[in-house]
Amino acid sequence: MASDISIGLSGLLTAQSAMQTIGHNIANANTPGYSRQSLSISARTPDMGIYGPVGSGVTIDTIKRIKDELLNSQINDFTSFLGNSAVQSDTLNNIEAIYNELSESSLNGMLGKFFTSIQDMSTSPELVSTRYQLLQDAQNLVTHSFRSLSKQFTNLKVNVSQRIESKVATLNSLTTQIAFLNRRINDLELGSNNASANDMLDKRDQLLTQLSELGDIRIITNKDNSSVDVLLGGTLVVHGNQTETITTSLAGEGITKIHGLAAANLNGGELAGLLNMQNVTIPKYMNDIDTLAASFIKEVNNIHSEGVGLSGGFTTLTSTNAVNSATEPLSNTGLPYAPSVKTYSTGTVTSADNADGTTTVTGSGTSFTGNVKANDWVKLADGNYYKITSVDSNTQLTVSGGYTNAGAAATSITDGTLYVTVTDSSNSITKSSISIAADETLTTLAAKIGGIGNINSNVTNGVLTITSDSGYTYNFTNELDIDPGNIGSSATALSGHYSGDDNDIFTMSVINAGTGTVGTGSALIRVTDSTGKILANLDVGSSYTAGDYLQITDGVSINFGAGAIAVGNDIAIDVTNDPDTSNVLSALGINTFFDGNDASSIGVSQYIVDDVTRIGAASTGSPGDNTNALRILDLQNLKLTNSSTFNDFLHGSVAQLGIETAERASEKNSFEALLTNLDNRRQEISGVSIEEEMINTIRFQQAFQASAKYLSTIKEISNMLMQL
Amino acid sequence: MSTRVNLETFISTTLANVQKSTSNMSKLQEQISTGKKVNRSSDDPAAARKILSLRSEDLRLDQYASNIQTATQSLDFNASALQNTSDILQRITELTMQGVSDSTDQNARTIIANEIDTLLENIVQSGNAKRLGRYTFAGTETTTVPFDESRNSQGRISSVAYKGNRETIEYNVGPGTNSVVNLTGQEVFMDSDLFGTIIKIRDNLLGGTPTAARDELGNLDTAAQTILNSVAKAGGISSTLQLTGNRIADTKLSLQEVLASAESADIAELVLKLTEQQSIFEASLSSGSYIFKTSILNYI
Repeated sequence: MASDISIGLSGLLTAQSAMQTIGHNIANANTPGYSRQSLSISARTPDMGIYGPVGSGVTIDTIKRIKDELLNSQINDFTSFLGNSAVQSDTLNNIEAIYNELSESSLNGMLGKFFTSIQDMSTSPELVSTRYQLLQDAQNLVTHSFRSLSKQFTNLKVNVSQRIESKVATLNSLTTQIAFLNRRINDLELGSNNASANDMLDKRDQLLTQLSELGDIRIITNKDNSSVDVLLGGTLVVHGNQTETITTSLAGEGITKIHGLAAANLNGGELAGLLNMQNVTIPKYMNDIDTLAASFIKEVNNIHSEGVGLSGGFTTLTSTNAVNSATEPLSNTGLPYAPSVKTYSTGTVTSADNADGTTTVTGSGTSFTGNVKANDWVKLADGNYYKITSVDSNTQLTVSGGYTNAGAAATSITDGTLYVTVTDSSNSITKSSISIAADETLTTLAAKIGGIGNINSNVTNGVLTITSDSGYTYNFTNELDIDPGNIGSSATALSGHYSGDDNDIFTMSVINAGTGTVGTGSALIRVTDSTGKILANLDVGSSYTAGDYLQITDGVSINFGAGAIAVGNDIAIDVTNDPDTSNVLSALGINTFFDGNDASSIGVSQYIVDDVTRIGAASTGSPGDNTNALRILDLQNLKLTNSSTFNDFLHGSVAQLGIETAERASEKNSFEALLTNLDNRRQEISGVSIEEEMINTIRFQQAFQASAKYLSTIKEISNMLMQL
Repeated sequence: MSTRVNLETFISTTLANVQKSTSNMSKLQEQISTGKKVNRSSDDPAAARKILSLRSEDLRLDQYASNIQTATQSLDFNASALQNTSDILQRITELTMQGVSDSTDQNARTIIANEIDTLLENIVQSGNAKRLGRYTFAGTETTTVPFDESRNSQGRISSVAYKGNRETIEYNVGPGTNSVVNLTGQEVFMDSDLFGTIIKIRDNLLGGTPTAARDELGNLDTAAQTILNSVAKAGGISSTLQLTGNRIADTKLSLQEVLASAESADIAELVLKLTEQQSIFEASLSSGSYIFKTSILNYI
């Protein structure tokens, strides 16, 4: 009889437990990461009676989670992939919004407006109004395009680096929780043979999935206990109930570094994506804008410094870019596009590729801290030039794009010639040329310029000032020396603009003197270039009237005044297209339009802002002269930025960004779809179905009722027995 | 075992599809409302690059066209000023012929000389023609009065000096192509000594030396020919520029067609697509809500 009650009781209790599990399932139907649980029941070990084993009721073996472990690890993998492409896609969308290239107010549009204003100035250079318009458009280009882009890129980078910090904080919190659960699950499951810490296991699985969103993880289940070890990108971050704390440090504006984790080995997850954005993608597009700005500033300034404004010539000019040493070669004095290079000549250098587009350089015996900073160049003992991304310690630097050879760090000042034109009060011109050597210092340059007649120069605090004597003006244009002197005793005069490609020297020599004067017999003057090639044979014989202009070539004409000539008389004239082949003027900031050397520092030079008539549209003092403006316009057609025109370079960068954005977005979409699919499959297996639970409710309700009925029947039977 | 499908699966599937539909609709809506197929470079990177170059090109063509217009207007202005001068020279030639004729007496010669003097003043004025603040015959010295006359005691012009220069002015009329857009006073008036010739004729008629005046007729003819040649030259440059201008206009037209086809959205097609997306969207919402309502709880 006692066994009957015990059987009834086991049925009753089992049904009750089943109902409890059903209730738990229904209550957690919407709990993320929850796996439905089900009761595993079996018949109790039978009692041995005299007729054989007699059933002794039902028992609960275990409450198990319904779960597919393989599916779970797939979900973790794809969560990593999705996390990676999602943050990259989002950030690229941000970059695209910053570029905003298809709108009218884009950099492309502003560049176009700048050149349109130059065009307008070229058709009426004498009007001040067109110059104001140009100044306005140049300032818009500078502030609303270049600088604003640079600022927004920096903000984005700071934002990404802050997100990396907060993701690392999340990572530490997740690993701590996982380690904690490891211990609790272990305690619970070790305490009893069959016990399964279902809900805590669910919770741990869910935390692991969250962790996989940050980086690619590998989970190692320990054989001898219920804890798991977790490898994040190959680094052990959870070991049983212990964790590896990951830390971050700020290595410059918008550069967060991760310590305690081999960041380069992360193959997926948001951290890998954000690191890639911070270290590679954002710098790449920032660099594009900087490259464009640098080449734009440099090229416009090169031409502008060779022009003159409405006033014609200069009486005083001061360089706007100061050198940090007047006695060092100019290429090493911190001038724009002639970066300051700090040289460390002793010690040894080792470099390690970080696989994220950066290289770590360790130099022994160096003292970097306080001496160099991000974006500086260093030349280390191995002879290589490095551009610094961040200064990590006194002996360690992170440098971008691997190490770079001297070419990239080289100054834009080259060996070359600078032509200086001095005009006196009667408009008589003297042209002089200075050769600029590679090791030119500001002091030697000043001495060479000061050596020109009626020109004085001095260097104060790294700034060069060039002045002319009273009654004289000077400029650096390609204007022709209109009165180059006499050939024999015939005075010559030049006219026109030299349009040849290279600077040249035209030599005029008398081949036939006729009867000894210009305009007699078959007098002939031959013109040759510096290589001796004959450019023209000028007939100055009997049909020539002294003073008539004769065409030589490339836009240059000459006339010969009356006077005696003899065979062998000659005169040489400099014809220049590029009067400053050394680019020393633009590097020093003498008569330049823009200042700065990248997108963040570009500005319209104060010299121009103060007086728009200084804009160098002309090569001569004539107000209607637009030849230098035409030269600036021609920059649009030249391949000056990484072998592309300004526009093509920008369009290429925009297209590349578009491709990258579209790729990441489609990657993100496909991972999302895959993950939805996997999640649905997980739901199929582990999800709670209300219908199923309700049907089970009915089932166990009836089982409970039946067991209760059975017990009451047993009770009746025992009552009957008692009354016997 | 049959596939277990539960509410969560329904919800997530429906949610994903509804989100996809709304995102598609929002993209279509953006294209319809902006009228553009490509609104950011990732929509179609190749097309975006093309659109950007076409726009830059378009902006430049506008500028070339505007430069050409300025140039042709200025050249036409010069041509008409010179045509006027040429007419005056015609009259001066007639007057000179009349003045050097033996049948003309000194009184009549003085009257003729006075008329020539007035006409000379007119020519100097034409030479100093100013358009939009620029002296058009001054070379690049566009703010300097090019012809500076000296006067004798009677207030008559005794000589004319040229204060401009011999330099040409070029405008940018195509990629790397510049065109000369001016005629200098030197080549038009000074090289042929136009003013000197007229002054000599006038003075000789006044001074009673008609033979010397007759000797100048040849020079006068040469000067008149120079003016006519200059009119032809200005007209020639102007018509070449107009041809270039027409070609630019044609290029611009075809460029805009290309730009439109690369950039503009086909509204009809987009509206159709939007309607299609909308019906998918509504269908998934209504079927979703129908399924969500169905539950075993309604029956037990």
